[in-house]
Amino acid sequence: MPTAESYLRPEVIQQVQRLDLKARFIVEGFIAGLHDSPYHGLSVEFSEHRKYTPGDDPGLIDYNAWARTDKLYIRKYRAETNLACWLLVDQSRSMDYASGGGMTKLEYAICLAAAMGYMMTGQQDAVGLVTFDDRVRQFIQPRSSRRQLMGILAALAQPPAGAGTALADCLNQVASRIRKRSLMVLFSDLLDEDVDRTVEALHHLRFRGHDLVVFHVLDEAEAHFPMEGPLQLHDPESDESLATDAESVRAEYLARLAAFKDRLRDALEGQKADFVPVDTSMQFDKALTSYLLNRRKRY
Amino acid sequence: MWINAAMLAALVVAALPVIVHLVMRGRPRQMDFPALRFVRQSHLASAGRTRLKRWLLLALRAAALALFVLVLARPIDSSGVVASYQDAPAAAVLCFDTSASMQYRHLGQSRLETAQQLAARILAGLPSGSRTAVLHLATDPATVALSDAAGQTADEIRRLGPTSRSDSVAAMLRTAGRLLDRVGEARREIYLFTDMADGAWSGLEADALATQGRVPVYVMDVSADENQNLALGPVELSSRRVSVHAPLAVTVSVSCGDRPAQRTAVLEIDGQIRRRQTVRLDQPHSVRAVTFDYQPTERGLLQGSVALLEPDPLAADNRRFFTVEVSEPASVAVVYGGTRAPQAGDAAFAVDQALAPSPLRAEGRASVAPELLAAHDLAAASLGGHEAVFLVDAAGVAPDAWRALDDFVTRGGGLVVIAGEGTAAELAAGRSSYDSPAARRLLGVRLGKVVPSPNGMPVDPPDYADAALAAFDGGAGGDLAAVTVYRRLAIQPEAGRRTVLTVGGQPLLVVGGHGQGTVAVLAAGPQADWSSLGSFRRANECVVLLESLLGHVAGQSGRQGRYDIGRELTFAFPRAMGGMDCVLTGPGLEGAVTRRIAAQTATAVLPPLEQPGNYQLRVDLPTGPRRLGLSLNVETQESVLRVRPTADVEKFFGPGLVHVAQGVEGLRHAETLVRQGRERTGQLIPILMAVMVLEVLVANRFHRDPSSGQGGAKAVS
Repeated sequence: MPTAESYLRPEVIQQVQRLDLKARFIVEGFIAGLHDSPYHGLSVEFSEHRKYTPGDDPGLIDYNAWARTDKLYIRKYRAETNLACWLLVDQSRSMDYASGGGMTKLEYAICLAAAMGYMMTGQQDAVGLVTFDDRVRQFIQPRSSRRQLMGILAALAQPPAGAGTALADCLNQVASRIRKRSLMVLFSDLLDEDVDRTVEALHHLRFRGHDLVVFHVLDEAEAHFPMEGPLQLHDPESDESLATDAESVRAEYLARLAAFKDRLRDALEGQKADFVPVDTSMQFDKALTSYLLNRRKRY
Repeated sequence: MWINAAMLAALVVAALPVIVHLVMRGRPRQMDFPALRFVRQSHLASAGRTRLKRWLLLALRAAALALFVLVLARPIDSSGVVASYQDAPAAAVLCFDTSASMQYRHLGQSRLETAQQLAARILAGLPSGSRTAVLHLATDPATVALSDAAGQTADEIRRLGPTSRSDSVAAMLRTAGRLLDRVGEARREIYLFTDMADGAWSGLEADALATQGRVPVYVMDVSADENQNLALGPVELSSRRVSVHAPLAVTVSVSCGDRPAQRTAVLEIDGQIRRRQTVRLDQPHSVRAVTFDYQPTERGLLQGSVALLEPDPLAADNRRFFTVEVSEPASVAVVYGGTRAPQAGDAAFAVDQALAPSPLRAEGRASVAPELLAAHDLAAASLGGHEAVFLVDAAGVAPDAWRALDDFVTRGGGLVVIAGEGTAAELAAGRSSYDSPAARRLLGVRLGKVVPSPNGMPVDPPDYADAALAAFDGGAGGDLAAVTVYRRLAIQPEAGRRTVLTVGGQPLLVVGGHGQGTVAVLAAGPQADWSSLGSFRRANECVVLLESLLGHVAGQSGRQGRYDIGRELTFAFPRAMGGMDCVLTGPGLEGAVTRRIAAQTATAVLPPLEQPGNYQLRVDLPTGPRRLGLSLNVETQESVLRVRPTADVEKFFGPGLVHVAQGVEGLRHAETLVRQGRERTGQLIPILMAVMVLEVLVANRFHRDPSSGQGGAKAVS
């Protein structure tokens, strides 16, 4: 019988039909595997101070309070908040891609988004959803009810329109429409033609006061380029093709991809946003843990 | 040129990497790839470099395969081949080392027989119309000619047998080279069949055999891997002339090859075994001396041999022959100056003891019976019973005494004059009897003043072929060049005299005939301040020199010395035999051979003797027949089986066209080299290895794991 942890593997989750179960399995497997993990709550809202006692994590000491009072306090976060969390899911044609017959990038992103929604609603946070490709397709306002989660999952389960990408435009549109300070969690391969515009759009979101987390979802083949020999590659979005040789371009490709990621990371981290690169071969808990570690560093 | 030319067809495999590459290129894998923009940028940046690397890799792989095929095809460099006309008629000289060592038998076949088989194969492989000649060590160069009758050459090869060496391998090759110099064929070859035994190549210097006209020489090595031979060295006799019942010591060395051995050595006299000894050689390549004592029982010629009884692979050096003359001791008068009997330190005493040492004289074993005579008694003495007179540092020789000596020599007696202090003093005083006309007529020299050499001067290296030095046995009996002269009388030889020894180019020993006798004048005696002849270290040279002079001036026996097998030899008889006939008998001769002894020189030229053994010479004197003898032995050097390294042999020929081969395979290889050139496969292999290493390096770099951190971040456009 599969354990909860086994559902953290993409190839297992792929076998589960219902999205709500997928989200549940991912989250429960993730939490079961945390043990002495850095997980101390997903909320970002500060609650109160408490006196430091030996055994507490020194990393939680509030040094500003220590400077003011000459006493050691640790920061406590509110376990139940009314934080609004927006799940922004890229459903463009480039996301509907799986190199080895496994999960597509979109399926992987949906699983991650569902898991996030599951966790957020579990702690009474409001969760909303925006799906987009060359334009915004679905816009579900955040709520913290159980039914809200079902609605989000149902929306995610709908097939994508199969259009191209207008990532920057969509993000700018979202930034304009959502005025309340929220947590924005973006799931995208970020493969827009103009990376500068993408960065500007992400900055726009951050400028509007939103907390921003970007899950950069790539396919395993895109992330590692394991192919060999002559290739005839086809871009489903631009419909362009290129004949090349895997060995001859691999090193250069990976270098350019790394430079692309570095550019995004630098741009986001400069704005105190999180950049979480994942690929479809990674277990979900690693993606979530990576995100949580980033969050904890910041708060 | 290629040894396996058929393998060249496999060169098509060199195209395999290219073909595989092209075939694979034709079927690219089609797949969607949303991140195509990065691939396109990478493709533009690295396509040229990658294409270059790929073709370099393909070229290296193709080169490696091509080189591998070439190695299998075994290339040949024919640039150094003079005549590469495979089917052109050849002029070939087949030279055979027929020295004694070629009789060594291995696996039931002698080396010479092996050489004959190889030669027959080579002969059969020569194109029709080829001309050939066969040379061996005893071939007369004047009679050699190329023949186009292959059957005749084959017969000559079949008839070849062991010949006692009369010439060297070097001389044979030079003869072959001269022969081929005169022919018109473009393809000229010399084949030498030899066991590479050291003796055949001794005395050669680098490039000594460099062939003229770039005629290739192919040395066919027929030596065996192991030397199991036991060999007898030269015979050493305690004396060449012994008295009846006086002991004769016959010494010979026994040496073994690669294995320890035990053999029985015997002394044979008149065909009967007289003595027997067991010789044990416990170590490989060890030598032991064996001495047999024998007492002759009757006068005359004593001939015998020392032999090893058990057979071994090389029989030629298992027996050594010797000849000794058994006679009454030679009667000699030793004339001294002054009135006092000679004492130790006097020259006459030294000569007397050298001719007949007191211990031997007391035992009756001395071969000479000297009688001491004072110079002033010489005129009255009866010299008729003596065979020779030694006038040793004798001053004050009266004119009557000179006349008596003249009469003695004229009638066939021998005279040896040895200068010394007394002689010099008399000459210095200007009243020397040696200046008298009678003395000068008899001696044939003019004696001058003393020539001092305070630091001593060595005797010039002598010609041991001179009959007056016969007892030195070609140098084996002593080394006269080791004798130092401190003082000597100046000698001016007159016409009819020959100088036998010199010091600093000036005469030291002069010999000449007078009437029927012979006179020898030695300008420095055995006194300590005149020469080192009287010293203990040079006692051997002193004894042998006096023995040799006695034998020569007294004309008692024929020439004793070294005889070369296969060469004409001039035998010196006692003077009294001049004008008579001598009859030669011995092994290998078809009947008796008669030769006339020259009246003037008392010598006879004997025919070349090919077979080792004891030979007899009979001269019928009015008083009855007189027998003389000589012994012929295989040269010790000829049976030395130590193999000359191939590199040495190549040095003799100089860089170029000599090839040393062993066996049938070696012959084939050599033939390939002869007719095609030198194989260069060995030089291709390092190139092949280098190409393979390069291929691995390029391939590793080409397929390097990109996740290993290569390549830095680049700006994204």
